[in-house]
Amino acid sequence: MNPKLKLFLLVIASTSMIFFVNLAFMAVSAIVLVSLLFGFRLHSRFVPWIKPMTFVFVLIIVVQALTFNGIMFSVAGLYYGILFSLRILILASLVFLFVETTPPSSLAKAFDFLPESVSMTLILALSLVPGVSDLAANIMNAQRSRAMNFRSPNIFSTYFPVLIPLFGKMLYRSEKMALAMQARGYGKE
Amino acid sequence: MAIEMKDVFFSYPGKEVLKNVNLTIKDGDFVGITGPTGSGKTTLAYCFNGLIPHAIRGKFSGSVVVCGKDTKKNKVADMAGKVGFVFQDPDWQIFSLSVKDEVSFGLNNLKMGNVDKRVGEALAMVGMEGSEDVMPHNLSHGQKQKLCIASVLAMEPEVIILDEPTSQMDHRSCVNVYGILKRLNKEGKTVIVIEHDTDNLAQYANRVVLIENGMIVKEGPTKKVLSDRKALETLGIKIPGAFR
Ligand SMILES: Nc1ncnc2c1ncn2[C@@H]1O[C@H](COP(=O)(O)OP(=O)(O)OP(=O)(O)O)[C@@H](O)[C@H]1O
Ligand SMILES: [Mg+2]
Repeated sequence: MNPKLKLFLLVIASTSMIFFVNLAFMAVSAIVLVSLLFGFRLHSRFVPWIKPMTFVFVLIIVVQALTFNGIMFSVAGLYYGILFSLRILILASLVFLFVETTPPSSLAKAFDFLPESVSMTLILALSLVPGVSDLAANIMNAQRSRAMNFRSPNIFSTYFPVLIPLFGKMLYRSEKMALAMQARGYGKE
Repeated sequence: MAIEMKDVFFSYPGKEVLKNVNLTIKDGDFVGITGPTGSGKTTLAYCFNGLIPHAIRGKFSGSVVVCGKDTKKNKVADMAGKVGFVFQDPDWQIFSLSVKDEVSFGLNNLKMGNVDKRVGEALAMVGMEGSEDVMPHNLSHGQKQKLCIASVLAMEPEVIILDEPTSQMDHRSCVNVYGILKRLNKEGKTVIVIEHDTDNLAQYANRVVLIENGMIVKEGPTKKVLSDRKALETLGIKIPGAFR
């Protein structure tokens, strides 16, 4: 399929997901999405992709259920919590479907109607995403092998040893990336 | 002359690195630059394509003329057609979502035609033919290094600078990359490699530059420089097997 058309559909589908907050509509979308995932044989890849987000869904449901009606449990809150996480789940699977069914080279083409600097920024950001999660995993493993305890209740002691090298490296990398782009003629009139 | 450096000094904010560097590299030379970690090799190479003084903050003085162009008067992007630069870490350079986009990036910037053909040829040169649609993120480090080399070769520069191009490659890939460099050199390109492994330099380079603490301590034909045991030993540089 034409990548630009697909991007357009993705935008339509995600905005409708934001405007029509109603369970029936979501159920139908979810069914369509699930059959698409199976149709493209992507279900086995989807599960590990979405798994890390389970915690977020649970958090949303619990927080909604407990705060919707003052600070106490409410069924309406539970309902909204579920609706809300379902919405995020659907959005996430839409993006997953889009990325997985579009070869990387046409992914870039989907953005080429934007001004060049904007599409370049998007591509740069997209290409950095998998790197960031790998980097974070590596840093965490390095700190673990120095006996760091990620279960410690003190968030400063758990986050700083990861975030500081992570941001440091990302900043350094973006600086070098700018040099490398110029060295290959970016910005030539 | 491919490169003529005269009385070059450079300091990063708060750190003087290059101290009175004078260096001439002839067209068609295959030059190896070696020296201890932190001695200023990468910094020196940044002077060859104008990253210093245009894109890197610091104090620069002296003059660098590359392929007849004064780097002070030409922007990095304008030098890019003449001088190719392969960075030390491929992760600094690769940003595209596909191998093909990565290789064509420079071609598009220089508005060179026949993009598909050139991309195919450059990939074939490094033994990566047919991988146009692969996502660079999924390549191994050594393959990423090869991709970076291909993306620079595609632009057909007259001078090619490579900063530790084979540091993370297995022996076969390393031989392969030096084979490519040797061939390009035979075709008349000037090749400059920064390299810790003096065995590679002994085998492929025709001139070697020894640098320590931002100064050129020795420069000349490979055999003359790399058989100077005393100089190498004081810098802690491996004496190549060929001259042991
Ligand atoms: N952006 C910077 N700001 C300040 N100092 C820097 C900067 N980049 C490098 N340096 C310092 O300049 C010196 C020379 O660095 P350079 O990267 O040129 O060394 P190198 O010979 O390439 O080393 P290596 O073999 O580790 O790659 C080092 O002491 C380094 O710490
Ligand atoms: Mg270096």
